[in-house]
Amino acid sequence: MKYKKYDGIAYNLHIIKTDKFKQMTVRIDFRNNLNKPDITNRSLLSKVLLESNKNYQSKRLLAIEAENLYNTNIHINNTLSGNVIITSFRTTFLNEKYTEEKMNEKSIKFLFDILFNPNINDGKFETNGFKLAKNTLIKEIKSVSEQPNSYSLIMALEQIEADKPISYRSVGYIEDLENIDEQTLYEYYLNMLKTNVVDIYVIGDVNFDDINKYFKKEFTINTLKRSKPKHYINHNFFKGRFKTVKEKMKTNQSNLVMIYKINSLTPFEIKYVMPVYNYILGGGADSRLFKTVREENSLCYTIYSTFNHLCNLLIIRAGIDAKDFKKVVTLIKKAVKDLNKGLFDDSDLEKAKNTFLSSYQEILDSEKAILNVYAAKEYLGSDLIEEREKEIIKVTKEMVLNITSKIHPELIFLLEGYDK
Amino acid sequence: MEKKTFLNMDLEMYVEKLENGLTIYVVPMKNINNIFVNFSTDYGSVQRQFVPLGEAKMVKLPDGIAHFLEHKMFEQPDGIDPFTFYSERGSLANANTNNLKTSYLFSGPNFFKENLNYLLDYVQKPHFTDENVEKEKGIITQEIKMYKDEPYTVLFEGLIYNLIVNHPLKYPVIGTIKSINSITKENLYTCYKTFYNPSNMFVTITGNVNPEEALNIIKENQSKKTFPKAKPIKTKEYNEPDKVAKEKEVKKMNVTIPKIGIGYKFNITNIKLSLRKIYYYLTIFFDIKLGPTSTFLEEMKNQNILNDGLEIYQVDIESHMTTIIIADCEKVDLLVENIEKHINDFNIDEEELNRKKKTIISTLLYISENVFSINSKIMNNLVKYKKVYTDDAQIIKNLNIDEFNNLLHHITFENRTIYIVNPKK
Repeated sequence: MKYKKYDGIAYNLHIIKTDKFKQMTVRIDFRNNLNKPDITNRSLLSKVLLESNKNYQSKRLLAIEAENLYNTNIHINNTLSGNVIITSFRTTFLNEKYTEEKMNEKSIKFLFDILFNPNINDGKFETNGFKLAKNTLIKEIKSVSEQPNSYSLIMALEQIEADKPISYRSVGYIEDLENIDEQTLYEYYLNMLKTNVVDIYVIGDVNFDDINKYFKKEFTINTLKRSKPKHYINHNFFKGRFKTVKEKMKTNQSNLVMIYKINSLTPFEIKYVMPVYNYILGGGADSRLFKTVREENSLCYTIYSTFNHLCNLLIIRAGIDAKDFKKVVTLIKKAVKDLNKGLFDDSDLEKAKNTFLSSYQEILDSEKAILNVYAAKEYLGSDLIEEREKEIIKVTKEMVLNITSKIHPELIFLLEGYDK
Repeated sequence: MEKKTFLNMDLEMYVEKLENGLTIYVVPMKNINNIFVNFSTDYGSVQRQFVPLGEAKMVKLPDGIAHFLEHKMFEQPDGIDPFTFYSERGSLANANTNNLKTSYLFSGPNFFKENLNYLLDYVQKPHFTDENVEKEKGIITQEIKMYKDEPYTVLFEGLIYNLIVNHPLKYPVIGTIKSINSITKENLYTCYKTFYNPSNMFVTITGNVNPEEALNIIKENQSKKTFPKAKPIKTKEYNEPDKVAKEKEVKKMNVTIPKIGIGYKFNITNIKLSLRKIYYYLTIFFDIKLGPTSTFLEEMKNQNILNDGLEIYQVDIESHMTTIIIADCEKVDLLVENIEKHINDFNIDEEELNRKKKTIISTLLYISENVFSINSKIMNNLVKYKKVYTDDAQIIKNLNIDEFNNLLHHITFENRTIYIVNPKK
């Protein structure tokens, strides 16, 4: 596998050449510092662009063409990445070796059509497509509370820092949607093309120069490259103890969220030490949380912890009965305390490291996962697979103990279910 | 080992049945680091009533028992947790139960021999006690409550329950809080001894493996063990009528947008096509009529009846095929009326059929690189068709309008149930 980066004026082009896969992926990222109104604009924009364009005047015609191109997949995703919002236009298609001649170019052009040829009348998005997209988004925004386990996390984060990037809802907001019309959205779209940092990734069995020439010719974007946005959210204020908040919802199960804020991790600690800590604590069925709360005490079915490295948060989640709230919280606090006191041994470390080493090898099985590694390197300074394999084995018990003083209790949130 | 080629997928499958009846399927995959192994039994929630091994009378055990048993397989007499074993080797372990099978799995690029041996060993060593059975009830109760809060799960299970009269696919895999609380260790041993004989089980291995090496590991492992003599397992047979159990039900839940499920059931006993072809034709039919390329969906969105597309599934219950359609929708009557207008139009455009065939064959190529998808394909073939098909690409190429129309002549959408999940307020 070979990688080459072309540092252009308007965009960076990253090409990963490999003949391992039958499929190819092209991903075009637009990145900018995150402001709240961006979220709803981009959520709506991604839907509007997939409703129709100048060459395919309806979603149905777009779907038919995707089938004609041997079931090519097109996605537009918006990701909140700490302080940054990323809108990704992605296509995955079968290499033309397996379909027919010229399919590679046709598939990429199909993506370009969606990106560059929107359905515009009189300087604004065509009304019917805009309306259909807006109705879909309204429904999605309203549906956020229908999944109590994910909704409990949203509510918990809003308790920590309402109206800050940590707590923004990735789907968008009804109140912001009301301020967007066909014209303002089109202006937003043009501004996004002009002002965002653009990175393009291509992975597959390709020729570097051919792809570079192709993009130079076909990917015409009037953008000036800007300085890279900074993703990581750092905290300045730590309560040092938990605040407990409960809200009620008519559900069978209650959803518990416990959040710790983390500060001043070094790059090595972010990439390797904290993930090892998290694995031991609640990273799977062999973790402290799973063993104590579920297996020994039968108090839950799901329980796990996550290290959100971009927001510097350690988040523990469990589905429980409301009556067991105090008991579960006590068990979780004890599990964290025991870990912080050093009540773990080398075998725990080895398990974590072995699991990560396996996961690095598995990344190489997927062209999308490989692409994500290069994007993480570009945006966050993450290591490539070879470096990861060398670095993870350096993590020691002492390093894990050193970070425990950087983990600060912040919030216990219970979305308390009741059904009678 | 017998070798079979997956047409158009650049994959080969190696198969061998051992003396004890255990069948092994191995698909080596180039350019893949990972190895994914499932050790499965042909036992799921549908075997509700059966004659246990060594007995004469049919028994009915509590619903949810196959899934409960799966949970308890992770208890071992030496106290070592399988999750710990696999974690030490950087591998992931898990298990799952559905209507038709229970699978125990691991995935990881290293320690293949140890991992495979351990998988065979722990699944072939049940350890059920009164204490560990009692302990699991709290855990599975929480699992049931979790699913009860998921609107689409409630919708799907409610719809299936009302669509089917007698066939045991009617009942949820997980059981109910009441049924799982009545399970005893004796019940678990009864199910285990009947369904976990190697002759009722299979191993599917995909990824970075050498088939001969895999086979030798399993042979050596199994040669050290003895098993009771296998006998055909007698399960209850069901007569499923054409009519549905209940035509409409409305449930209130914590949702903001109503969810609707529509289920159709039709008899396939007189259709002279393989079950596999029936699945292909019906999937294509509903995709053409109601999918993203259909005029139906375009009309529904323009009339503000739907915002999104539909989820559509085909599920067979031996004598009948069911089609399940799920949507978010406030205008239920209009939606049903329009769906039925389109699906009762049996005209199929040949060009459209050919395009759909192209997409399905393309999908085979996409999944041919995925260690999990290929493994699932083999397992699903085994439990549904009792064999693994490797000629899907050819079958799909040969799908034609005449056969399609012939199938459609036998289909009716008269037998229908509707399930609605409405907001509580």
